[in-house]
Amino acid sequence: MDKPRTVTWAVICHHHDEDYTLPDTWASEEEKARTRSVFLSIIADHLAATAGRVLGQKVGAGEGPDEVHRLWRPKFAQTLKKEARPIKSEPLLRKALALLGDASKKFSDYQAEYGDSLLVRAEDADWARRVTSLLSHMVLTGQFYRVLDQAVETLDNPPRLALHGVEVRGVREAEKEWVGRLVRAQVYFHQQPVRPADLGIFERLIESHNTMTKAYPNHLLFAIGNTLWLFLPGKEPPEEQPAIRSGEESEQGTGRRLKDVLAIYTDAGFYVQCELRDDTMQNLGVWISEAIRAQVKEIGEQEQKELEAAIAAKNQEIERLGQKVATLGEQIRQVTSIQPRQVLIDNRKALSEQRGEAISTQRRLREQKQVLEDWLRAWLERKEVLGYQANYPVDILKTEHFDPHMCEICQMRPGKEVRFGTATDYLCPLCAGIRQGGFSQRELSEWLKQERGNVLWMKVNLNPELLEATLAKLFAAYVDTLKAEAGKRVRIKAGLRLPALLRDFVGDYRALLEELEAEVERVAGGRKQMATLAEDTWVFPIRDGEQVYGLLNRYCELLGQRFPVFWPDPDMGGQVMVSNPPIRLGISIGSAKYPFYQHWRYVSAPPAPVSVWVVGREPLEVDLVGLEALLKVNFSAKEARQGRTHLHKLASIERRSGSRGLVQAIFLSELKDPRGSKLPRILEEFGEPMKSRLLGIGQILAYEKITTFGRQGR
Amino acid sequence: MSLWRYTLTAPSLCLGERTKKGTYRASIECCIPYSQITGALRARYGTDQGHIHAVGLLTSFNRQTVMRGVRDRAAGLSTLPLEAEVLVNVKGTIYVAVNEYTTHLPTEIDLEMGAFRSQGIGRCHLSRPVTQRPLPVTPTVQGRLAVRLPEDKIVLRLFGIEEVIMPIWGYLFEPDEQHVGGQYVRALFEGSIVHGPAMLLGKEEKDGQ
Repeated sequence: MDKPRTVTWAVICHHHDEDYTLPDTWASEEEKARTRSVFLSIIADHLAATAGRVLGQKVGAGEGPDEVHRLWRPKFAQTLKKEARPIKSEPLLRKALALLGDASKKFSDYQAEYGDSLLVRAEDADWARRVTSLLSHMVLTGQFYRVLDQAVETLDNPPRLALHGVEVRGVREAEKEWVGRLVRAQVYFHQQPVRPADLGIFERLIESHNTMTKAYPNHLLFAIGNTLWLFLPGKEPPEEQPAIRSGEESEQGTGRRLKDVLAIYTDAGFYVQCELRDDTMQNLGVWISEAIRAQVKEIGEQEQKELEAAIAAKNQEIERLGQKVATLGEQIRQVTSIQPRQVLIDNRKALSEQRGEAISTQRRLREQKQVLEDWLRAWLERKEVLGYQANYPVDILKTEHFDPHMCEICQMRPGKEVRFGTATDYLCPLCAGIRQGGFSQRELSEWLKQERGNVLWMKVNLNPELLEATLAKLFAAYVDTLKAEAGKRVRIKAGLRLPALLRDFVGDYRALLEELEAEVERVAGGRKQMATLAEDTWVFPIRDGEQVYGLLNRYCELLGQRFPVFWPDPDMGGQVMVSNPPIRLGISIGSAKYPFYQHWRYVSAPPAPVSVWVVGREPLEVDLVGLEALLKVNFSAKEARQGRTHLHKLASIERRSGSRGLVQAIFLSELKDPRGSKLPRILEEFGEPMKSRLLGIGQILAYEKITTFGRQGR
Repeated sequence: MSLWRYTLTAPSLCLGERTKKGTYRASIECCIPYSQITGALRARYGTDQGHIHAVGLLTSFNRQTVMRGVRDRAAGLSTLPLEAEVLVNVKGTIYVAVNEYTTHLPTEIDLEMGAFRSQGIGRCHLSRPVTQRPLPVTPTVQGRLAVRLPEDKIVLRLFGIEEVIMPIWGYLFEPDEQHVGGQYVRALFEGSIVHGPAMLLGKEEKDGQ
């Protein structure tokens, strides 16, 4: 490659140089800008890396492919089209690099041209690092870089860079001295909408999300649903320091407080729960959450044992080498001058070489032992750097008590009498404002005012804590398949940084939501027949259970395509890697007049991976494997009439006897003896899942009732 | 500091959420708030027993919906029929802070709690073994609170809440001494992260592996 010309080019050439240090003097303003960019980009690159970048824990590129290994979709590379492969031919690569080096082009131009290839190209071909896409890595590196660029000051004589007063000259020094904060924030509202107009709270939330994205395009690493991941450089400034409220404002000299950033939400009446990690740049992003430690406690204990065993083994080896060095020293002394001179020289030389080798091996082992001990200490002390923060609207912070009345919608503020038509409600100014503002999706408001008819509320939920734990576990399982010694595997696992992985996962999850929304539109009968409350929440008037069957089938299919790791793996003897997936589906069906907040309570915290509730009936709460088994039978089809009748008989036995166990026993005994039984063939599909306790009769009954909802008597 | 542990059984219970209007009244399903059980115990043992402090957890129940016509006694009118969620076959655990007023609390207590009491809903029975000793609130661990407690330092200390790490706030009703009015006081709701006794903390959701 040519010598660096543009700043981007210089960054590309030098961004892996961990020993990068500032010169003794600035040769020119141009060099000053270029050096600063390279310096910050090295740190940004480390922050956006997946594992081991700072620690140099390489397993080796080996013969592995360049494609990304998605932990939740291990065969992702095999499913790719040819045109979406990573760029390998030299002319194409030169063209791509030329575009990257062109100062007049933006990253968006590059992404438009090569986005597909970047999405499938692993960030690093090393086996331990190929779990994130180059695209996510590049986007995150850019974000980290721009945030640092806003916060870091350049000082002269001698050249130094300072983050909020902490001055450094080298990258390694900055990694250890500069600190930052990674935050996972979840935004909630207190309101329990009673009337359609109260649903305007969802529109307020979307407005706040949009404001956040515009105000903090770089601090906000990514977001999905009500969850945001943020990066704030430097230490949190003290309370007495004036707040930096705008995202555009310079952070040089002082940092910005988390609560000031989140004021976008709290000023609008939302509250935000945060889990955060303050750490040095070197360790920032390593296993961000408390939940992960709880989830991987077992792995942790195992790793601790492995680390201790590895340290003990190193100690033994060091001791053995120490004895060898002493023996060799003794042998050298015993080589006497009686021997011919050449033999004497040869013997001494050979023995000295052996001794030197033993000493250098001993030194290397000591260094390795030191690294292991450092990791063990870091593992044990990890809890120190985790924190929590709750951010509430100022009025709630100040109000320890108030007299009746209470606002009937948010139940967090004093309410005043407000008249809407003939009705009188006690509302706080915030909730009254939302109600007066109304809800722009008129169709939904009209459906909810109907006296008759049913409405389906559907929400896909992503549990961020469970997601982080799942990714850490999948990564640990992946690392265990690598050909590396135990100690190294431990260090790679412990060095996992989540941001890039999370970004990739969120990308797939968002694509799932988009595809699911298209399915909702199809099932509902058109865009005008549905309402989108949030990117993961939909409502539409429902006709019958066949629509639910269609939705569940498609959900299962889409989830299976994008997240196959939630299903049994034939390569693992039919075991499920992740039995409690972080993605859950909640569906609630009820009459249009049924209170919204009851639906919301169910769909926003579904008790099982798939939870479907028809108001007044037993809910279907089942895991994904169970759902797949259920979906083999479509009770809403005409052919299933016989099976339905039989199930109704079983249901009546359950009602009269009050025993579900009895019904289960009858079902299984009928399965055992197909010749003498009246069990319809269609129900035999459930034989295996019931024998293996994957499904219970209660779930089959609930499934039947849901899928035949609105079709009785047809 | 120590707590009495009672087992609660109730054929039906409606711990009404404070959402008003509409024709549906939901029941709290996560716990028995401090204000509900403390109020019920104080009502049972006289209003001068202001030193009773209790909180509860629901362990099992079924749901049922009932129709009730609420009568406004002051106006002498019946309002629109109200559909209410009622918990049936309820089992739960009640913790009562042990102090000089509650040391000799009976082992078997019958009381009424929640909504629709005049219609027979909310009759509860509390019991504890005669041989049970008060349970100490220490040692404490970090976790998510499973109950609702007012943010009153004295109350928090009684229940062994040493530190509030991340609060989830709501408001609980605190009646005045005459029981004719009262105020809403800020409280820690379920899900708040605290250092407290394990018996008042919920279980973290874990991946089943």
